[in-house]
Amino acid sequence: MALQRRTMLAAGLALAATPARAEERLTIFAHRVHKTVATGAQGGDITAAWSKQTGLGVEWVTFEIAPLEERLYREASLPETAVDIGFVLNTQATERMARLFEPLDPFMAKDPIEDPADIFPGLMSGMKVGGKLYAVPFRHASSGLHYNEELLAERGFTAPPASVEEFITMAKACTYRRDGQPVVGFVMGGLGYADVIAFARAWDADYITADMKVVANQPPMVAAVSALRDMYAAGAMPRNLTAINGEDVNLWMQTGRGAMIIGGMGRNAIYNDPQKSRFAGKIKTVPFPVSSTIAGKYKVAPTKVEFWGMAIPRASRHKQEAWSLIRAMSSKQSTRMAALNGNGPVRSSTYDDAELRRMLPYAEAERQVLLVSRVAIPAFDNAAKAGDLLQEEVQAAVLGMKPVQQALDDLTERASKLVG
Amino acid sequence: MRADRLLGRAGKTVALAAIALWSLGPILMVVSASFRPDREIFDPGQHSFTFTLVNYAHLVSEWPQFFRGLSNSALVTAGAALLATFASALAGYAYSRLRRRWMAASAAAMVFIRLIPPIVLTLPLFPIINRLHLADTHLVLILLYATFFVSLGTVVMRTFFDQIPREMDEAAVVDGASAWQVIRLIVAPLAAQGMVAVAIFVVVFAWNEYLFAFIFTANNAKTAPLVLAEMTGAIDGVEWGVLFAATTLHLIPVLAFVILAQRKLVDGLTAGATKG
Repeated sequence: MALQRRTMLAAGLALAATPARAEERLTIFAHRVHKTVATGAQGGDITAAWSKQTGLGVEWVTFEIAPLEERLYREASLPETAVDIGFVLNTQATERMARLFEPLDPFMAKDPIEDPADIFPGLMSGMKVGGKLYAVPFRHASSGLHYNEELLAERGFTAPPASVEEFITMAKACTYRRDGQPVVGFVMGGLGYADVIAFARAWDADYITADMKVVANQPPMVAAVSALRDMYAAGAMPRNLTAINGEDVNLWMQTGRGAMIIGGMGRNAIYNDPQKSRFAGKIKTVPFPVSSTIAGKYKVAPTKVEFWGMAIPRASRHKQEAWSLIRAMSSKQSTRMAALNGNGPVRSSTYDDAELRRMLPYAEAERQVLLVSRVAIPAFDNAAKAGDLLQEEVQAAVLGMKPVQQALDDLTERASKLVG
Repeated sequence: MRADRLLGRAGKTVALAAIALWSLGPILMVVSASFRPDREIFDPGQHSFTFTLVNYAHLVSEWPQFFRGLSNSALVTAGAALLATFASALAGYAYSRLRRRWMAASAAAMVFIRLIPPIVLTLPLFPIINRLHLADTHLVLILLYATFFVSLGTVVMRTFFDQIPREMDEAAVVDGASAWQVIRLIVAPLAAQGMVAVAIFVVVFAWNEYLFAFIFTANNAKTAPLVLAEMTGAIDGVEWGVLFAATTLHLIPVLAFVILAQRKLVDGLTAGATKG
């Protein structure tokens, strides 16, 4: 009896202390969506051919967005890490990334990815720090206009707005009661900096320019925030605007409580999913319209784009193999396969694919947006704080606590201290 | 007088009902939502209830890592509970029976360490755990959870052992029992309720713990709370029905354990209360 107990205890401890790692494999730290689009059923597994060729497996370790960044950077700070590829957001392309991740230019020079020029230039440059490339773009999300055509039709509109001025008029008109439930014309989540800037791009407004100048109090941004203030005062935006998060925005569209939103164009799929939405098939996605004041400069609003890239930690033990896998995952074929799995493709040529265009009714619209859109704010160490400041001041303006110009003047002054 | 008693009883019933509703209401909402399609869960215009098991089916097909997480959680929780209970019992016995000045200082130090926020200790441990090749193993979580709860468990066990007369130990020694036999055969059975109480604390903590699991695991030892957190952070829209199904399944084991263990706790407390 005692011998059996001791044996079992020893076996249990041995089992508990041993991580299962039967074959040699590369480890990728990513968000679950990256794994889903890389290994989905529709397009296929984009790592399968590479695994077969090299004899190496791929282990995906997935986290939510913020935990992914925290965990990845913590692993990358070790002298040696088991992480071989990490997915990073464009907002993380700062000096900190440069310290912890491999510059990829030497890899590109020796063994480049397929047709780098096919990747949208803005995305490639967004992954550079000090002129050096640190991540290869893999996935993007560009903001467009989602509208419920059934709700718009009930209010007499048969087409989406052609200008942002028309959008504001429609938002007010689409604020009404429907079967006893209130509907608002425009839903935005909490006035977060990314969505505010995406909306403000209808006037080609900026908060912080690419050369790190704070221009929040210039006429285009003042016009944008004034429009938000106007719509909120007219009841065309939710009363509890500051408490709404991104997931709430999805629910409002799916349940018909909101007529229009600005958001990632890929959300078209979940808004039209019959399992999730009362208006499956009725939510359309188009580029966000521009203001008539800049109609000659842009056909569609240069709304914000956010994107993920694949980076190699300096502490990785398998850098050559990691680069080989990155090359495979960023090829034209892999990009197409991932797009069929639901990914936002980073290559222009992918949008010419007939099957993709059949699957995504907004494919051409998304390409038009990608050609002109830019990041919400440049990546720098205090970018998160800068985003919080914008949210704070814009909320004060929209809720009527401060005049719009004063709020944006205050924002400019406070943010200028962050950019240095 | 009778009216006062009736009023008092009614008031207590209402208060208890309100507390029960406050505590159980969200749980009942989660469980019922797990059996509804996604489009009905948050739809304010939806008043009917369409029963479906599709969320559980999707959980099985789309989130197999959740079930791996559940088994990891079970392994880690069981290991931590056993280790913490065993260590706390021995330490509690020592503190109860050995009256030395340095023991009092040691007890105070143990309590003081317990007051330190876990994050302060956890991050410096990360490189050490990696150097020892213990990262992403069940053992590291078992050790951390047990260590975290030994201080509280020791205080609880000491209180139970203090209630057992020393004369029983002495009588057993006179009869020829060794120290280990005294603990195993005499005092431990009498302090079983204390061990059950410690086990309940550790099980509830370890089953729901997130911070240590997040910092020290990746794939192999990933526990269920990490997978649940990942479900709430979906970029392409949260699948609420699937999340609620996972939450419901996650709730069941610890609820069952607490109900069963609590019964043992009460049975032990009331055993011998009446003359047999």
